[in-house]
Amino acid sequence: MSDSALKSLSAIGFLTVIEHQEHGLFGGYLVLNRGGRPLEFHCTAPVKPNRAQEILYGPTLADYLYGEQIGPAMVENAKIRPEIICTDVEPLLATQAGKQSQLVLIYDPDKQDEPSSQEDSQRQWHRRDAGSHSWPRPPHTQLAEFTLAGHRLVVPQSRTASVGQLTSALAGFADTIELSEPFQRIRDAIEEAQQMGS
Amino acid sequence: MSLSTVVELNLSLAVSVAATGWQTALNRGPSIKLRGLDCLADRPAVVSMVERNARVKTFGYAFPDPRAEAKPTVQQKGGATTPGAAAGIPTAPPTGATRMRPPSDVIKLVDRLYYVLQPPLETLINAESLNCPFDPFPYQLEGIAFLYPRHAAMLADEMGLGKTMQAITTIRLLLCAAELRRVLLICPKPLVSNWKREFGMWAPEVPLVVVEGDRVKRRWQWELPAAPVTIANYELLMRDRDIVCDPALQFDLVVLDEAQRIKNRNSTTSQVVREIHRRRSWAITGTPVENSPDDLVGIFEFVAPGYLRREMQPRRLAVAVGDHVLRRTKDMVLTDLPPKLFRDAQLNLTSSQSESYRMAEDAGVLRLSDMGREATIQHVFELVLRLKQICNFDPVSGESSKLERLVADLEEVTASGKKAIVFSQWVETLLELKRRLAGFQPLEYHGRIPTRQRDMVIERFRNDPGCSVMLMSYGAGSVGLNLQFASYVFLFDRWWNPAVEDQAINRAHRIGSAGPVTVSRFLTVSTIEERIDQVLEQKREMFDVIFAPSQRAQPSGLTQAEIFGLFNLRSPSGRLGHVA
Repeated sequence: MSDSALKSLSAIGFLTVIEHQEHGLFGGYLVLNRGGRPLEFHCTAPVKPNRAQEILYGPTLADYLYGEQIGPAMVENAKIRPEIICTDVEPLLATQAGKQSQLVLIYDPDKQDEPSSQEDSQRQWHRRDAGSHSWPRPPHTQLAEFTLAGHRLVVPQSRTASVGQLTSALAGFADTIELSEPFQRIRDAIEEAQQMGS
Repeated sequence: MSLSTVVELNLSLAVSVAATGWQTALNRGPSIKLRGLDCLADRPAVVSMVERNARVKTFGYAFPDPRAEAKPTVQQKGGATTPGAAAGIPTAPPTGATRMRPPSDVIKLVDRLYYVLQPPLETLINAESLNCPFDPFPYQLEGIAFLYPRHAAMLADEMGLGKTMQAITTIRLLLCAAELRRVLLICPKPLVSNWKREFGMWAPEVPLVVVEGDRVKRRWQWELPAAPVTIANYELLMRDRDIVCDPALQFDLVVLDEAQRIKNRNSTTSQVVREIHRRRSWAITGTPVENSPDDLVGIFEFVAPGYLRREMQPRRLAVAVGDHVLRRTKDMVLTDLPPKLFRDAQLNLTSSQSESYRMAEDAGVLRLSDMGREATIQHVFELVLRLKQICNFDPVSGESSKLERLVADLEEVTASGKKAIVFSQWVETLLELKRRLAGFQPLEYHGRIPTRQRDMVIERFRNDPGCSVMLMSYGAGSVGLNLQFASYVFLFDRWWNPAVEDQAINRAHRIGSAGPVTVSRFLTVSTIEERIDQVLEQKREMFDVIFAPSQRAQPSGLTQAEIFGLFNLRSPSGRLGHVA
């Protein structure tokens, strides 16, 4: 990803996964324009690891399901390839999003302990926020961290453009939209789609 | 262990030789026999688990980018042509989260997701650089979120909650999103200038076309293709019916202000607005039901033709319109609004008034009784009006207990530097009041004041500290005007329908009111006014049934039977029309 690409951001992606108690994992990927309006939305059919996968992948199961299965399936299907893709689920950082896209993990520490609206209503949906996984995770040791608009942001150090470049590129969006807000839209959309489908 | 391995054992045996005949055998080594043991088992069974990287199934939806749509007609304030230009964008994102939800009549998933995935309104307003003169109240944002996705909607907030602002801001957002290109707004003629002013305040970049002038000019105005918003009044609509109902003239949205004007589906006004070719239909009214549930059915013939039926019971109506109607009252949403203080003045007629009243009533009732079945609603109505006028002024002596009370109150109002509005249903009463209140230099706003002068009257009342009193008719001044700088409202006589009275009161008691608004309702005891008030009080339940039971009831007008009943007469033909 070039400096000029970062400077001229026209779209931004938001990638997340939520878990349904019965059906399993649902991925959602939302591409927004600079004004925060939706341009593309992708979601997955429910994904549920089998017992063999749980045993064989062990502590790497989350990285496998999120980063190799769910994340790429949506990102690759999108027509728009934004320069920055934000996620609030740490294993999605492993998503192979192509060379032109930089994945950024957004921590929203104020909301990690709060139940989502879905949890409030049915207790069937669970957020998969950074740090709330039911499977053991291998420690990411090579992460670069920075702060923007009250959020703690993390990027894989091996793939990162400079933190300064990312900060200035994201700042334009952060002036307009609250960076963790689009994840709620994705969760609502997945729930809407699930209700329509059921 | 390998089979070819030989292990040598040192067998140190103690041997002694004895001379026997078979010693030769002792010289032979011991015989050792080897027996092999097979240690190999069968080849172990192997179970293979092949991890197939099955492709995750995905569903994708694309939405149009409004920024890619050409918007040549909507110019940003200050000359900027692109919404969201750097100038004016605040450096911190908004914190509110008022989200729009898809209406129940949106069926396709992609359409529902389009609305679910829209940003909060606070973000939209911020991103589009829609500089609002004031921050909208949260309930106003909820109103915008209600209108935005709806093709059939009725905004029925109580008067004074900012329906105009909610409609304008929603139109503005939809224009920015390129979801609208051509909007027609229809309102009563006296309110055209009010809408122009409100558009100037809340959407200054949106070009307006006000349909007016001679027919040639109006045709040109109707057919201007580049006009995002066209404003017309109901009266002109009738005259330009052939133009406005031409299929070639298509509107993305038609908004009816004071939509109770089309409550009677057989009226020409209703027929014309229903013929206009449009994609979206919004009705704005503070009184969605004035007389009966049929009013609502009539308005919905425009909003969603055929959706409601006249025979539907109120409770069924309430369920049916639930997703299409949004109504809030001040009690529900404006906890910080200054209070509205009612100070009902129950007055006794003066002796000469009382004498005139009794004579008129006795003669009138006697005449109606003599007419028997020949008596019509018009005959009763004439008597009611006659008696009400006597309650205002004695036709012989000119005495008026109401005037005496009003003068006393106005002296107090002007002494405190406040402003007051005096409402009456008759222009003649207002003219008489002007003559008798000359010391207060009252302004007039009624049907005999030319439309072009009315704005000047309002501005003078607003800005001239020497003008403390405005004499206003219910017909001309009850809707659409913002007179929140007035602290006192006097209802010199009572309208047939308290919903109209409420509208009049709420000209002053609305957003922006600096302090409490005191409402004085003049009612002469033991007269027709008192009887009408009692009947109307009994009818407040119907509104509750259709809308929220917690809301204050909006009573209806009087039926023919009820008007006959004012004089203990029986209606000759049962339930007929309403008087509103």
